[in-house]
Amino acid sequence: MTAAIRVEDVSKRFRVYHERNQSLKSVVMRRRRARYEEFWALKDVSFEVTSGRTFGLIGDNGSGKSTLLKCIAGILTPDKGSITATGRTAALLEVGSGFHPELSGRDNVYLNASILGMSRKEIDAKFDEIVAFSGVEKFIDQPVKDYSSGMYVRLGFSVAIHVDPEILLVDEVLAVGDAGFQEKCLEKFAQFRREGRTVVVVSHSVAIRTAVGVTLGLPSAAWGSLRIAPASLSIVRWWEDGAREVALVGMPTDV
Amino acid sequence: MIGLLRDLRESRDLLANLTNREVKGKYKRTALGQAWSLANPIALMIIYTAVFGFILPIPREPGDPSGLSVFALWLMCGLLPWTFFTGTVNAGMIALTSNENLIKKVWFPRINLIAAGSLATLYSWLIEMGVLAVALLVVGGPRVLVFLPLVLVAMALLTLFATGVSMIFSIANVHFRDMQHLSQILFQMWFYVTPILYPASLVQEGTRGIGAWVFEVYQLNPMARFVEVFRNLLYDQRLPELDSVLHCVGWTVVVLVVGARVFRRSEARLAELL
Repeated sequence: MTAAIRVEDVSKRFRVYHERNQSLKSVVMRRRRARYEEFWALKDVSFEVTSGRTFGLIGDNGSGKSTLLKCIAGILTPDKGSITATGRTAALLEVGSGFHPELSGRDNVYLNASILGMSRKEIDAKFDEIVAFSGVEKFIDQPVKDYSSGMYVRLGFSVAIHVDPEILLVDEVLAVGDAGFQEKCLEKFAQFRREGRTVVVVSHSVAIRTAVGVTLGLPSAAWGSLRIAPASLSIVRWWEDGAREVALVGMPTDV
Repeated sequence: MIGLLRDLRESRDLLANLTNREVKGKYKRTALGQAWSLANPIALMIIYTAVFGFILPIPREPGDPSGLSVFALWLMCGLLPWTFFTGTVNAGMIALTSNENLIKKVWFPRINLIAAGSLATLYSWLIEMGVLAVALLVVGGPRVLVFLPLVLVAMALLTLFATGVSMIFSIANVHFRDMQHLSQILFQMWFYVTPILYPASLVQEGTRGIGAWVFEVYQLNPMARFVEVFRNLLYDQRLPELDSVLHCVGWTVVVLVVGARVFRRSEARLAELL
């Protein structure tokens, strides 16, 4: 069992600005850049994700799970510690990243896919599949500003899901589209699992929380109180259930 | 520097697509489309030719050895490189701030955003220079063709120089949004200290009484050197002086090294800084 992602003693600090001086005038007048307090969104987080597993990161809003995901994706750089991800990593934190509203769906598929790290050849090869999955075939040469928001999101999601990563990082906000499309997405995730890819899902959704609660054997009244202390984030443990692993971000203080 | 180049090479498809987005997106839903990119230089040409060709005629020598003596052509040989330079820096300067959302959500080598701005502006410039070359061909005869390969080399060099400046300005603009506005004033002043509307020889004569050092300082302006090189190649139709070429190359190297260092230092933290 090899580790697809290894997170070692990762800490991430943010600055909470009281006055953010982003103009030269304020720098000259106040003779300082800004006043801020430091805030540790992540502190000494360590864990490993086994290759080929689906791994859930569960936590409340503000618990640092998105920060952690962004660190793994390389968007943020940790202040301390190290993260190693073995294999091609794709992060789905937002769909339709970089879509240009005036350009056609076709152009935007190429643009978006290349932003996500696909080469032109790969996109050429998968173009039809991407369009078919999104279900916007008829409108692919229309500018995306004329798309309904559902079509827009579906096209964006379809591009992202076809990046063919060995490690996929997903934010739960991606539960998009109508029931039919959601089913397709879940099927795609299942396929990823079968193919032995690593998936990390970030969530605070009640459903997953409930699953954690059940796994922990907690009374249902306690599920809602799986709380996370933001400043002292640590992974307490994770559970294995077949190919799934669930990690709780932070301390379940009321447990 | 080498790291940035490697990033660019590894993500060249992304660079192509981002450039495509800039080029295609810019004139979407306009009736004239790409022709708009020619409108600004033509308008400037008419205005400056009217003012400095006729109303306040600026003394200048005919092209040596080309023998050309057309103010509008002489002007454009210097003005087009200048508008390309400012266009590139302006595009690069907002490349990071206007793609904030992208930077916060996806990781990809950020230098692509700056490079795409340069390439998209270069695309327009190539069209402009093509039109200028045709005009020079019609008015001055086929001799200009001999120098076109060297003009392309000079254009590549100026593109690198402008990209280096873009890298510095783009990071500065992330820290202080004042840059966007400050730079407009800076460019105005820079435009007039660059021999675009007048020949550099006027400055040399005018400052002789003060001392030769004034002109030497004046000649430190990299854009003055670039304008001179372009004018030598296109208008005079001769090889530029080695001194000027070395200045252009030297400035480009300096700006690229400093730009790459500045860019690299902030690159990893861009998602937070924005």
